[in-house]
Amino acid sequence: MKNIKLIKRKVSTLILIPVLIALTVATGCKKGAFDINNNNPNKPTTVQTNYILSAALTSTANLMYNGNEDILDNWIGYWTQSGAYTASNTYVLYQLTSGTGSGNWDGAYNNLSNYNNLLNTVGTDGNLGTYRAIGMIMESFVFQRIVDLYNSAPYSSALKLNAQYSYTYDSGSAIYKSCISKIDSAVAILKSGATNINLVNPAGYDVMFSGHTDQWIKFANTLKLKMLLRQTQSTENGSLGDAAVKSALAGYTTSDFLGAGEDASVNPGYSTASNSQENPLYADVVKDATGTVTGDEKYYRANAYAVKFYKTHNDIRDSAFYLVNGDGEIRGRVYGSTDGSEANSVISALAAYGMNPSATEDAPIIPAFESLFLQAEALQRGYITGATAGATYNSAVAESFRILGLSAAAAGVYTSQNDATTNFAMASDKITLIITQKWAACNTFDPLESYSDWRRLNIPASIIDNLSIYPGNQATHIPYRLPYPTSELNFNRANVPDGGTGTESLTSKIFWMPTITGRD
Amino acid sequence: MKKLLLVSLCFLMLCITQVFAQNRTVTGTVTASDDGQPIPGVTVKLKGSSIGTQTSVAGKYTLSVPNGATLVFTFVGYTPLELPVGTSAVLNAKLVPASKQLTEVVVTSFGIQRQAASLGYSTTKVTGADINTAKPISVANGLTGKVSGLQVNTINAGIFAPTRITLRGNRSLTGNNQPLIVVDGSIYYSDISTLNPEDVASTDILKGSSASAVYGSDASNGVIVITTKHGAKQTSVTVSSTVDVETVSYLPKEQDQFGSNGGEYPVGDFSKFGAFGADGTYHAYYIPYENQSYGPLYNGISVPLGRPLADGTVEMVNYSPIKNRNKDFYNTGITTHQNFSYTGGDNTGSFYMSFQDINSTGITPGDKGHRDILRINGDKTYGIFSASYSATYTNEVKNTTNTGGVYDDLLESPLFVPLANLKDVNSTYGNPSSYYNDYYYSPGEIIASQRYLSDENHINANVALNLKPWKWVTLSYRSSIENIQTRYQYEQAAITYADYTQTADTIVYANPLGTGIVKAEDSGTKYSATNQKGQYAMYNFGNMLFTSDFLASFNTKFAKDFSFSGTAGVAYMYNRITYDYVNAGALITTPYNVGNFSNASSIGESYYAARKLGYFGEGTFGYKNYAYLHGSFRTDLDSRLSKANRYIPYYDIDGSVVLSEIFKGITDNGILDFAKVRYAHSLTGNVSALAGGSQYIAYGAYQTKPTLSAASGFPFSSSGLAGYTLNTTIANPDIKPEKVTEDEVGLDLGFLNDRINLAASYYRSTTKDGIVYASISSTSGYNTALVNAANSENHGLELDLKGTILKKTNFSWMMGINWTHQTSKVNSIVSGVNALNVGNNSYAVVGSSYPQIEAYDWTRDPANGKVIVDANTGLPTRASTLSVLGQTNPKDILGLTTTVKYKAFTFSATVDYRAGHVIYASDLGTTLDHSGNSITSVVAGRQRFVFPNSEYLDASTGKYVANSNVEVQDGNYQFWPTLYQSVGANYVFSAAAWKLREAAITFQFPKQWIDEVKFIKGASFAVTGRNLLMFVPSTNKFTDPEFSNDTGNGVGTTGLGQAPPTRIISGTLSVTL
Repeated sequence: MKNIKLIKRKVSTLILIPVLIALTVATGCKKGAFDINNNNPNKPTTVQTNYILSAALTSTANLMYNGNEDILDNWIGYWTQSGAYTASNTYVLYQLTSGTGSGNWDGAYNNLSNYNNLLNTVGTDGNLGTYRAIGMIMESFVFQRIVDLYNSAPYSSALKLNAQYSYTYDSGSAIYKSCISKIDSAVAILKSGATNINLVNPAGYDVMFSGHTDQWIKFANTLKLKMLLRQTQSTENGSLGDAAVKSALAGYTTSDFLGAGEDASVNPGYSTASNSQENPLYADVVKDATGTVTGDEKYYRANAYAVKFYKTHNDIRDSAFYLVNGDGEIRGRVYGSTDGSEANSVISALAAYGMNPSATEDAPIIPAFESLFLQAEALQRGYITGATAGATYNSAVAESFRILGLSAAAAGVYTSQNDATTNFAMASDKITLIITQKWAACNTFDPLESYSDWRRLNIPASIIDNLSIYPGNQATHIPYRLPYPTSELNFNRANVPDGGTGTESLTSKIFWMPTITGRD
Repeated sequence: MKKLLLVSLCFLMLCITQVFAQNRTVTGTVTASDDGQPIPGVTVKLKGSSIGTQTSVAGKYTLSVPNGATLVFTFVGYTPLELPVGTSAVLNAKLVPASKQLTEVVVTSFGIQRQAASLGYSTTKVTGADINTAKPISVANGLTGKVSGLQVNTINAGIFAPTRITLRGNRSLTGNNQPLIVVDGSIYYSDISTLNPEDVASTDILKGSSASAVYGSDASNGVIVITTKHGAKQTSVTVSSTVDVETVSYLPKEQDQFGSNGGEYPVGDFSKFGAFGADGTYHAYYIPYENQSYGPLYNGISVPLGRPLADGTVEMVNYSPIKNRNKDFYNTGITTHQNFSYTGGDNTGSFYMSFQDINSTGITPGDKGHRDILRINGDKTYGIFSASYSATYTNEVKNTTNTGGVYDDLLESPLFVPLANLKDVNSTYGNPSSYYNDYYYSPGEIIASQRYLSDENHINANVALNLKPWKWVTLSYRSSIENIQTRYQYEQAAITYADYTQTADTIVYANPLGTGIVKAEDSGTKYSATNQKGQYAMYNFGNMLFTSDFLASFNTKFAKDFSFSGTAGVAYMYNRITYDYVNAGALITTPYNVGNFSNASSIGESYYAARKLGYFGEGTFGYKNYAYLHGSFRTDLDSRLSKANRYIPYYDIDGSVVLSEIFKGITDNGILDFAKVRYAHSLTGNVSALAGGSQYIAYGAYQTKPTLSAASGFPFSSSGLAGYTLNTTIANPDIKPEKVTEDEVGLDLGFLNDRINLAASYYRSTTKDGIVYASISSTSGYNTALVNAANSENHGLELDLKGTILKKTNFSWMMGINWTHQTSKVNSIVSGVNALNVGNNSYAVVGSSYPQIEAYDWTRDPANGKVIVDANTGLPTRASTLSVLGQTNPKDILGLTTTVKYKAFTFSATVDYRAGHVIYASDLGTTLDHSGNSITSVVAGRQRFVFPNSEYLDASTGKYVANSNVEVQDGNYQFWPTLYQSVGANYVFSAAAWKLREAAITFQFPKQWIDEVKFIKGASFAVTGRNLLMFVPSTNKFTDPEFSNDTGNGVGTTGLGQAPPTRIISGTLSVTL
């Protein structure tokens, strides 16, 4: 009996233990204990406007050089694949899939999203006008790339959230039109900002022009010139055509555009500290941060088409674009060659940006030579004033030599030699000369520009010689555009326009493309 | 063993017995009617009083009783027996086993035990003995093939191979689909392989979400409840030792006709080593440094292999395929298990401790692993109060190489290359400079220089307090802590090539006649001769889980025939994950330490924490012993969700009716003796998709607010410039749990005195508001949106049939068959989105079962499925968009188990069959076709051929006509490694397989043999085998179709990362002291 009593007393004590613990569990969690996930300890939810700008500009350089450009460099005769690898039928048979080149789409919209975030962060704050203008100009730049590669694309519906995640497509011409007017607005903002003493200058965070708004105005105008010149050959599908382009450029002089020495290029502080801190092209096709050659260095090699051009025209730039092979020569490989003996010791490697490639090099967005070639064409066509087409052409070639680390004197020798393909005075068709030399200069720097010129003007017409010789190739010309990516086919299929998927990319055109007899 | 286990369960329910009114003493022995063995732990009570006792280990009892009394003998699993006490002082009792389904106890949520008869949902019990039949390293392997509805995929053949476990398929498109593991009432976050299978007493598989509704959002995928062994009154020590011998059982089929050529010179004549071309230059068809086999036919003569060494000599080998070359490369893996366990106890408590040490060497040379598991548990009862505790510590260390790199070397190399000699980097031809192959490292080099090291530490400990102040109330409190600390390291040695590889050395060929060697004109440096710096990466992962729960259980009878038992409780959970890492960086020198990095390497850290509090209740109403109604309810307070979405109700309602107890007549004919019907309906939720499919709740934290991250390369160290980029996932503050509704009906039947049991279930579960990180159009500016949008459903039929076919004194034969038929369908993802990648090449595709493989197929005529080829070249083309090629989850799984006992021998086996699904052997297929070792690439003898089942466009009629004459323009290098290899559909094939998973013969040493040695109580010897046989359709030329790149939802893609399938044979000696 005694025992039981003892236990009963223990019960009353013991029972308290779990009950107390339970109460602690149920109520003891302090107020806010379940709000621990409100603040992310790993990542910020807002950052300075400067950080958004620096990252977005750097990302545009990545978009252009981190591998997205590979396919264009191959198609347009600059690069080819090494004989040490089994051929890729995407390349040599032009069997494009929705996965081909998709970084050009997905990467572009990701970049646009960050410019859009910049614009949203800046809002209507007048003191942040420079940021706003830069955001607008760069959005136009990236959309121009998208249109030139794909034609129709989401524009007015893009970069906004909608409950259906449905993004309708605008025509390439509508996007161009809107972007050109956006560029004009941006230039107006930059010009009006000059009077605002409270204007915030992004300085070093503007990794392209260090806050120099005059350079931004020139860049914007050059971009506008580029977009207008695309439309000279056709008045169909919303393309402006010669007369309308001319009137759109009325009043512009050469001083409105990027001139000699004025490369629009990005450099946030490239170095070999890590792979992702290297210049993106160097990191892609030269060496990684440890100094080891990259996979693409081994995979991509000099293309015989370009090597032949430079050799034929005594063009010393070949040694700036390519390295010598084991025998001390520059040798290219024919596109689609099946000769497996063309090993990497036989075919030249790529040299990236010229004579002294380095990981710290600037990444050109629009190099000065490209602006000058654009101006030379506009001058030749009588659209703008301020210089002669010939002088501007010579300056463009000299700038191409300069950016590669070659002397102006050498450029002078090149453009004054007895060769109608280099010497302005001797050329019977100045536009062909200008565009051919623009092609020769854009090697690796801007294959999209060359690809666009070929699609617009069929210059250089001999690009047909670079068509893959791989057995079984049925394509009669380079595809006209990239296929819409898998992400669109899977996630936005209802809106994707007909055509432009896979093999249809061979025939489906960008709005500004004219019909070219013998090619189409 | 089983009886001892039941005893231990009894301790938990033990009532205090008081002894008074002594009259006279009765003693006796209680034995079982089936085997005549004494039963320990039988409750012996004086009818109509609380006076009673329990039988001892020898089945004996002593009790003082008044005259004319009646004793009631009760024991779990046996029909209660009432015997009047006569005049004798001895009263022996013989208990008859009860229909198991009526009496079996099932451990459900939070360790709550329920009678099987009262359950309205499907559960299956697997004993520890059944799990350990073939001495698996992981409990998961021991469950494979034994339970319907349970699918275990062992995804590779590496050291401590990981498994993916699903119950009733997948409910969530992107969330976790693996069941919750609960060990002794506590949630177990560590991988199931960190448990010692020998510690497992039994597992209860709670298949449906009804069974697990009380666990709330963590258990909508079912629960595997593991009850570990506890001490018994009788002290015993068991020591056992197992040795596993593991060998490669299956390798991809390879051609053995053609040797080295990688397209250097098109092969003009496969019977020659080369020829002089029209230009007078010698063109070699045999290329001594090639990895590809698109060259001349093997002919057995001596040829140079590789480039000349520094001294100008070159290795000469026979140009003929080496039989079993790849198989012989792999080692025989040896794994030793040492087990020790001690159990003891008395009337008020028990103690158990065990230790397991596993040492393993893998089939890939140099791979090794070591696992130690130490476990203690115990309990003690003080009157109405009892306490228990358990703790497990697991240390698992692995040191493995780049499995895929080694496998790739084997599959790439022409079959005449003697790779088995190159396991060692110090062999003459095994170092980077001397390796024959111009493009890859030797297997010995990979093994020596690329090492993945991991060191995992798992501690899981819990304490539980129980109080039973009144007969109808039990209060219990349990707390557990689990801590996982893992350190991973990757070490890659620097590679420096000898000078002679850097100079343009002469290439040596076999001459055109194969009678000698010629030095070729062309020369070059060794292609891959680029020196590499050493690399090092490491990360530390910490995962802490604290759980605490309080339960109040009630058990009462009211009116005459009604009973009620119920539990109410609160459960708290806190999970914290820390992850610190140093990305791979180049080293100036060894040792492998971040201090020796040549550049500032990128480092990072992540911290995640989340908590949950659940309030729950459940109750069962019983009417007599044949009708039960059960319901449960739970709501969670979850820190990961915004305030408005925190309280989500989950519930279950289920019931069962035991027809054989209502209509006793149906059992009269002696055939049917048990019949039960059941129904369950539940609604559970799940937010594990927030955690990217991980079961760790902390990973789901911080998903409701948008963030920015440092952009690639930023901050740039030379300029110090910062840059941030938007997260590409749209955060969603309104996210709420996805809802899984499940309905289940079932029938349980027992025949012929329980010799045959059948359990059948049909279920249908639908997932609504499924959380998906839906990939969306990148034109939105984002790649993914976190939304509650997906809808999917699962249907399934499960049958478990078990029977004792023969039962004689010295011989018995038992068979079990389990069959699962499951179908699923994705009804919608997000508007406009028709496919969602769920990992690897698997997609959720609207309107199809989940998940589906997508890959590029040939361009086909939609009208008849024929491949369209070009009318001139005969070449097909790759389609430009992805095709849906089949589901990766089996439609049917059949499991067969059998046990035959004859005297001291026991033989058992488990066979399973899975079918109705496909697998994509992506990089296995592409590697073999790239290298030219594939069996497919020789179907036309490397000659031109008409592409099978093809058609071409007839230019004259503009119509497609069947192709019977246009041959592909090349049947060798210009076809197989380029065009054919680029079409993924060529490597998608049926994943059906029959497997003999386990077979074991155990010999129990007869008592008379060991009687001599007094201290030995029992001893046995067993020979067991795992994965002994596998039968696959002829379309599977590659590997075990159960393999997968990872354990995520995207099952169905396998490649080089999985070492080839193996067969394991082991021997075990076990002694109980």
